[in-house]
Amino acid sequence: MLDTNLKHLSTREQLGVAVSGKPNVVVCCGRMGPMCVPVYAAMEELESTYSHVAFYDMEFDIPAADAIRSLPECRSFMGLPFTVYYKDGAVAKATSSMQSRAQIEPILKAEFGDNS
Amino acid sequence: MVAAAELAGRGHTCTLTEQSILGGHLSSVTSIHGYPGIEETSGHAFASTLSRTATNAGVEIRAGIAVTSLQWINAGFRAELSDGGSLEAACVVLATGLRPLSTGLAREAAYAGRGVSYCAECDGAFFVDKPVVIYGNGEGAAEAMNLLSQTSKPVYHVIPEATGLAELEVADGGAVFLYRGWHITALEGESALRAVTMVSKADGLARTLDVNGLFVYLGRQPADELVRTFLQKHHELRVTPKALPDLANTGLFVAGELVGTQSLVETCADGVAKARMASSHLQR
Repeated sequence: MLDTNLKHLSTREQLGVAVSGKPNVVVCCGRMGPMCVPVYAAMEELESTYSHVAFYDMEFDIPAADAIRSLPECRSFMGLPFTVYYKDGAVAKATSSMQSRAQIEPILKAEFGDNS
Repeated sequence: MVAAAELAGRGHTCTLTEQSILGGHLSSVTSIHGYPGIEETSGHAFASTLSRTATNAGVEIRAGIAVTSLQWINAGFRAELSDGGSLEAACVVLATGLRPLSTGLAREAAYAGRGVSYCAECDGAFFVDKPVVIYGNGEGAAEAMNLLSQTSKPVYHVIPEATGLAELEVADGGAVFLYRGWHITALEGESALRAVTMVSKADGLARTLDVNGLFVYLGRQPADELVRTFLQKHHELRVTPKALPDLANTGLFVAGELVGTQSLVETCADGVAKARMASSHLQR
């Protein structure tokens, strides 16, 4: 399990429930490395501002993460973490490698809107 | 965060702005050893603890907000913020730390996660049996070379600072081609990186390397734009960037890696020291 303050996903079932249970979901799939941790930290900070978005993490190396790794949107990715944005159960956007808070926020606003 | 917690703990009203993530580079350090009283912890855990300590001490934390300019006014300072707001304060502690150097090339950000990486340990597995280039020097680049030379083929190591002709090194199980005194001038590819162009500083010779991966290890530099702009704006202070402690008379304290601390212990200690100086200044 990743050492973050985010909600963790560790099975395909949990991923399915998370993605289908809420309209706006972000899953960051990575390890505890220097490229991934800043993304988790940014997501932790954004959780309170974007309360209409559910933020999760998932370990990159567990079998269940194949559900993320094998997404067509992630096929060309060559950098950890893989961050996937789901809107109404479908992939709306996916990014590879480290993303700053300044890079994540515009995606949240574009895909999920402001928290109003 | 250390300085903010110390100031708030001393009864001062304190606002902390952080344009990126709290703790900055520290948050991404995998493992911290040698900090007094702590056997081992992660940078993320350490930064989280600092954040909680600051919050509990009464610090108002504004994450995701940058100070875009700083002005010396009669009773102290006025900081313009990236969200359009502003803050006024009798004292300012600047602890903006270091930021990683990028190649500065136009498509670097577009290729992040699509060939450009800053961590061989994190992303090396995506480049097994593929050609990669390591760009930069120092311990990180050496570690990346050791790691990638075992899995990627071939590995090019381009070092911009040094001079001299290209050399050939053969590592265990693979080839490492070392280029000293070259700098990368262009990144090529469509949806992913396919090649880099580099130029020799010695003779201007250009060469293209067909690679799938570029691992950037150019080091870090002080994030000192704010203080440099401040000094330009207030040249009457006659303070040079090399004499930042002289600014303390104005109530501006520059702390941490900006003034050259070399370790986490030193950085935290400097934060406390500058906060105490700021507290004394406020009590004058």
